[in-house]
Amino acid sequence: MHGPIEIPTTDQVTVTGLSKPAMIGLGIGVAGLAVTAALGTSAGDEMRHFGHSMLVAIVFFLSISLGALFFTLLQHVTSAGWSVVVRRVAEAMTAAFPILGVLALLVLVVPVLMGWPWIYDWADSAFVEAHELIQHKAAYLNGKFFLVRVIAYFAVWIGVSRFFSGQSLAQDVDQDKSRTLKMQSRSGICMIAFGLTLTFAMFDFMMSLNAEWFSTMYGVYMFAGAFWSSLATLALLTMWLEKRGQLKGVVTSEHYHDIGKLMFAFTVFWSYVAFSQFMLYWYADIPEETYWFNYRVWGDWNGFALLLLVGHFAIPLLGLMSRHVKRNRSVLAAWAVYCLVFHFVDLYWNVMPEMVNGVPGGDPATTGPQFDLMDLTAMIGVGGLFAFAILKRIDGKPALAIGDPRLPESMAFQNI
Amino acid sequence: MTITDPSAFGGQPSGEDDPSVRLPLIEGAGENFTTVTEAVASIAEIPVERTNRAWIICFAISLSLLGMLGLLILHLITTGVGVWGNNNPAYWGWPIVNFVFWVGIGHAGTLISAILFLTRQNWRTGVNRAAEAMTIFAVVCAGMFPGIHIGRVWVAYWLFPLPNQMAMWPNFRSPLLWDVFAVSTYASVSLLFWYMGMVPDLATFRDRAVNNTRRVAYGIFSLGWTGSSRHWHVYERAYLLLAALATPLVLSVHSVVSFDFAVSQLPGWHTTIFPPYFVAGAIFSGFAMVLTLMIPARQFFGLKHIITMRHIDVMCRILMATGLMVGYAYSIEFFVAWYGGVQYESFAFVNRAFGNYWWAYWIMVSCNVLIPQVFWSKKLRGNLWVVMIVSITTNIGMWFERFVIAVTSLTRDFVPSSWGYFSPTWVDITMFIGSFGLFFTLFLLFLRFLPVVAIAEVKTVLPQAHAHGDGHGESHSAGGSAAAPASRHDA
Repeated sequence: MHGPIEIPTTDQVTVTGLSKPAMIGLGIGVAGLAVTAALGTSAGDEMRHFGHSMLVAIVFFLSISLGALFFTLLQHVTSAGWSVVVRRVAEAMTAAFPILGVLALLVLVVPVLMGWPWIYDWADSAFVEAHELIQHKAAYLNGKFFLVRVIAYFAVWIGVSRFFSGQSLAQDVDQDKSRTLKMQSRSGICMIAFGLTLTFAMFDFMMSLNAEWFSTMYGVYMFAGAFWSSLATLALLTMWLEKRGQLKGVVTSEHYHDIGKLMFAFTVFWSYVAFSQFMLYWYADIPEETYWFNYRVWGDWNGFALLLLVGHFAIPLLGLMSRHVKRNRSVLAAWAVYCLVFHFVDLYWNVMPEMVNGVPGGDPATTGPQFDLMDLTAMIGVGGLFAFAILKRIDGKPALAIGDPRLPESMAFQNI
Repeated sequence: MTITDPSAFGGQPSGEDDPSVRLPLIEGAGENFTTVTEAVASIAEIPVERTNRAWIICFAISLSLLGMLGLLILHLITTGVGVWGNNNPAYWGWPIVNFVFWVGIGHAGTLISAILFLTRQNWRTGVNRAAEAMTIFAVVCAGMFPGIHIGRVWVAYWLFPLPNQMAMWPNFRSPLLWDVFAVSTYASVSLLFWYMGMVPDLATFRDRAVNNTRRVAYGIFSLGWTGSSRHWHVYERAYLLLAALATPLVLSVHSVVSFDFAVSQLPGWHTTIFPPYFVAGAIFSGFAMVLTLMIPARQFFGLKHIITMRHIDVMCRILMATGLMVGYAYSIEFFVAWYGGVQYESFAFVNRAFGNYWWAYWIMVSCNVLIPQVFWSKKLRGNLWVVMIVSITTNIGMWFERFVIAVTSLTRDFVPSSWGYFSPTWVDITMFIGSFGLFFTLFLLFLRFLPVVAIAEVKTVLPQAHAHGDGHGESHSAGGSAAAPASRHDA
């Protein structure tokens, strides 16, 4: 079936020469954010566009890191064997939490503390005074508690991700099998912490954009998109490291096949969750619930809604179905990029209609998308910092969990 | 020394204290193809006159309960649905609660046979057959309740869109009609999956038959299976395709069941998390029922080496994971009921916990969220009494969950003048008990006459099924710095 398994040496899989690309990433990131800030201040809309573009970008990269954290936890909680060869890549993808945390504090939390409605209308006391429903939730939606929660979320994510990548890196050196058992035994409780923090973080960052609207499904919806996009990123990063030589001969089309299967599964899962959330509100037709969808699906945003229906569901459903697509690296890479684009479309559709909502005279139903260079520069800026954090993390370290006791099993893995 | 192919054993529980070792799924040193066939086939081959006494007693009880159910249905049809406690406003009383309860139980089988097949959880081979059988019998019980709830059962076929001279059609906009399609599709696919998977084993029974009755009976249902490679090739393709088709069904059926509630405007029912929450709950209750049934079955029929303690351990963990998902849904619903600021919604949830039916709510929370937490302990997952008790309390909790959802919301809607209280009648209670008679009668017949374990599938996870295992492993250990995975009993 297959030849002898050659476990590579540490030198063979150690990533080198990334300090320069990392610094380039940092440079691009800082420059991108500076340009975005300049564009934002000159837009004359009291930083509304800046704030919302930045929110899309932060949540986009945050969701990739969160999905990667979920991936890592999932492999441990199920004692999985096939995924060991790509787990280090997923662990590296969680390295962006600290930098994203700083960004979230600066761009999302500070304006709220200052009472500036850059992003969240509920930060403005005059707005809250005019909305009885939001006064009702002031105990939850207030600056101080928001700050505490955001710190707590990032503390959990940073703590959990550091524990798992730290143990894994230490195992590279000492090959101590008990580390695997330790990670397995802690993964369950960490999964619970992950589920709760992701849900409430998405309620806070995304759902509270429209502080009157609510949906119990929203956390699951955001989770589905997060895992989907992080699988795409995982495939791309693995291919890149394979091309550089660090994962050459270790990762095979079998592993891409499995990542592809998960991408396919989560295409369907996202669609299932999105459909359920929409259909249940549409069917019951209660104005308090439908208005959120009303301007997103029937107003000037309806093009986006249709784009999601076709692009986030129908096309990848058919595209990722074939076995050949999932096993061919370049074709899968193209689909991975496609998934990331549509994850952006999804977040854009979730966030941007709220930019004009809550502003005097603003009506998202008739305003529609107002694309701006800022949307792009924010993505480049946050993306640069995201890349910096990840490259910095893997530079000088093995790209493969070389000490994992299940590495031979993973390398020999075949789909049957 | 035999070192097995590591890739062939993906997805099975790992070694106790050495993660690089995948323990064999079948326990015992001398196990081979013959002993597996013997262990399973002998259960069904005991002559009728020497049938196990415990089985006869259980069957007699179940059959009596089934008879009681038959009489109760007769009473219901001849008298009318007024014999139940259903009232205004609780139009949906126990019949819907029992329906959702049984449909939920009927989820584990197809999850095990389809989703766990696609995710290469090879340990499933030990339990999938019995779980699939349980699924079908649970769906039979489930289908009965809405069937008899419609009042005039003789026109039950009106549920289907049949062309007729009155040009009268079912209401396609109603999720209750979607349910008819969802559940009947699920029942058909599950039955097909179960039966198709059983064909090779039925052929084994046919070939081992000692009298003509058995030879003819098993012969008809084994469809001329010879075990040729052509048969196996077609079989494997069909199995994969059915697994792929059944996977979305596992999610869709209970999602559609949840739509019955969630599309309405009723506080407590109308919430978007319902579909995945119901699916998680269904899998939760289904695994509980698998455990309740398999723990005694493995004991009585000498299958402890095929359905091992590690199978039970894994199922306990799945039980706990799905229980936590249900707990997540309870908490998020509660939070959003407050966060949403809709007074009716917040009232509905406070009323659930502290209103008339507070006891039902707290039974639900204790059984579904608190008690399963004992499974964090590996020791308790290994204690069959604990597992048995938790699996039963889980199903009690899941029945109460449906009761809480259906009844608390109906009896406390928007207008206090339309509030009410629901009390079951003796017919409600005895009919629910009778449905267990139906379920266990079918299940006991299955245990007695059909292959309770998927013999052919279990053989595929035996080390002997991997011909290149011998000698092949040397290269693993020679090639790498880490030791290659080895199966323990050979090492």
